[in-house]
Amino acid sequence: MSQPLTLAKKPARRFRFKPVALALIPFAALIVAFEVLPLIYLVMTSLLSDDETHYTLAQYATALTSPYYLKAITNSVTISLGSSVIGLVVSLFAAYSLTKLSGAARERLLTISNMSSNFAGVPLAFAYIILLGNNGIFTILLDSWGLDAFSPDLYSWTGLMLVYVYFQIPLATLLLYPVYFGISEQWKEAAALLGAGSFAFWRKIGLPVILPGLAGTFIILFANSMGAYATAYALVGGNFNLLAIRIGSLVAGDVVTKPQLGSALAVLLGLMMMAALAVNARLMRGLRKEQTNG
Amino acid sequence: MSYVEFERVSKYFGNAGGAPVLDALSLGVEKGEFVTLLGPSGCGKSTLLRCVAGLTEIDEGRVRLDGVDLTNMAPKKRNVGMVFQSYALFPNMTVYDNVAFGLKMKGMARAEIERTVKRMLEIIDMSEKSGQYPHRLSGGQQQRVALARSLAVQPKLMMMDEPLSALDAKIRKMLRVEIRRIQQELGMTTLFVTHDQEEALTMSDRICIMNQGRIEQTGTPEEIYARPKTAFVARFIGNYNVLSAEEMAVIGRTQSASAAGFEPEAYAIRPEAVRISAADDGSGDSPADAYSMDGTVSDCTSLGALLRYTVQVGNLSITTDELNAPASSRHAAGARVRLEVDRNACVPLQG
Ligand SMILES: Nc1ncnc2c1ncn2[C@@H]1O[C@H](COP(=O)(O)OP(=O)(O)OP(=O)(O)O)[C@@H](O)[C@H]1O
Ligand SMILES: [Mg+2]
Repeated sequence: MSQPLTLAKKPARRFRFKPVALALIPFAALIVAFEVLPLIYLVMTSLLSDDETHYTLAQYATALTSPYYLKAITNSVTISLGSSVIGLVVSLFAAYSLTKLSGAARERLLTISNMSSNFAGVPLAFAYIILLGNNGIFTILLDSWGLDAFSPDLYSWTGLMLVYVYFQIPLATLLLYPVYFGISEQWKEAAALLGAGSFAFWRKIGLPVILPGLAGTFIILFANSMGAYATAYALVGGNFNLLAIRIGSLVAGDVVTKPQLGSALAVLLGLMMMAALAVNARLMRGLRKEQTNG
Repeated sequence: MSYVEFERVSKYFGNAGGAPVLDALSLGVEKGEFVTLLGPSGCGKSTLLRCVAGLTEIDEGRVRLDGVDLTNMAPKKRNVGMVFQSYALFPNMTVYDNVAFGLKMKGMARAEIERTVKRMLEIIDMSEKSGQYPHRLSGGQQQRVALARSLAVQPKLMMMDEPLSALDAKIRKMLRVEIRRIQQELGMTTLFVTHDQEEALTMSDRICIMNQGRIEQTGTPEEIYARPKTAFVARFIGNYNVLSAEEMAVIGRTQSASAAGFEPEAYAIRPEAVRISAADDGSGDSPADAYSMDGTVSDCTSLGALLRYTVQVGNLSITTDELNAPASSRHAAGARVRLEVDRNACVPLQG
């Protein structure tokens, strides 16, 4: 009888050491060495003056006032938003049709998606160049048929968008595919018996239910394309004014390097992604709150 | 012609050569009637409901509701409601919006929707949960909301597929009474599916016992319980002892039962119709209109108000139920006992 009482009186010990925690040491060391330390270094560098003599906010001032870098930021945001929206819309249908396929066909398509979502960077740019570049197969084919008006210019914004969309769609499909399993077949049946057609079902029930998954996927796509560097660089070199390319050339360029400014831009890029994540988390919390507190 | 009319409905899944899931099933349901489909797992109960709802296509035969042929109609035009075992409430909508959904789809005016939903929530006694989301409700509450959601659009036929199976025993019993009350109040024609015989016996106007895509017997709960027609029904309802004609010879039956109008293949004996007594006492004079036999108790379990004995008579195993009297009169396992059954308590069965 008195046992529970004495137990209840004892103050709860929050930080009891568990030997299992030792297993986390390698992980923690890894995080510190490859995530935390570089990040600190990056932030410190971004706060240095050009000649590294004193700390200043001048790099940020330059980054946020120079029309050149501002343009790089807006270009990056534009192409990321664009390719994410296209990727999301296309994969919305692609992932849904995946759920309707038989097991074997689905497995095969998932494998292909997985492969092509990771197929970015130099090989992807190269593949596009031999297909759609100035001497690409399709460019030459279309030319010889007199249809050169239809051949897209790979080295334009459209071309770049095309390449981005190429890796966004399979990634989005992979991320969205499991989301659809959150939709029960019986909701559709119940809705149908209550007079809702397929369109009404998706508008009133299907989409609202998968909305958190959609938003999460969108943020990942956005971050993915904001940070894409190798693909763009391999395709258009330094010619395109993108944030990732600017950072690359400031940190490791062959003409002039300004690692301090590059670091400041990198920090800004990181902040933008964090802001996107925060907005997403905030929206989702609001949504869930609405559904739990009502 | 009945209000709901099934006319030789057949359904095959997969290769049409295989056994049909619904086998030329015919059935009529009257307006306002509560009909229960009772049968073992896989006998085609859900499939039959889904065929009426248009969620599964019928291969042969037709279904009519109030004179209208439903067979090739889209689900949303059929005017039937369905309640699922898993509730299937829309998780992104409040209780109110769930119930209002069908009315909105019908394009009903806002004020009228509000009035109808309010009335529905009163009927299921959930008015104060109107703004809550489904995942905050208990299973029983969710199922009541699902019921209200279907009732709100006033379907001509209400179908429920094991609506109580996912609930615990106490809630289940409460909801049985409540569903039956609402059904009678609204005069709602209902097709109810269960594989719980007690549920079927307590709720229904009429029970259809289904077996392998056919209706084996249909009748009022009393008829089904007291006069099973086949061995399958007898086994499925009320734990009958089913004895073949040869086995009846073992317990002493010799004369042919011409009274039944057919030569029965088997007999059903209700456990509570078997009297059990210690083998020694009252030996000799058993009543002339009863069969009697000696056996050994192999098992005795208490079912609360009842004691259930399993008695071994030769190689026959017979179940008896007795009121759970004070322990003094209990027969222990291994005890020799005498069993007596009135002749007219043996129900002749066909097939
Ligand atoms: N979509 C389907 N495809 C193939 N076979 C199916 C399908 N739906 C049902 N069946 C088969 O039809 C038979 C009857 O199924 P049904 O769901 O109607 O049974 P039930 O009587 O409702 O059983 P339970 O009590 O388990 O719910 C089963 O053998 C099942 O395997
Ligand atoms: Mg079923």
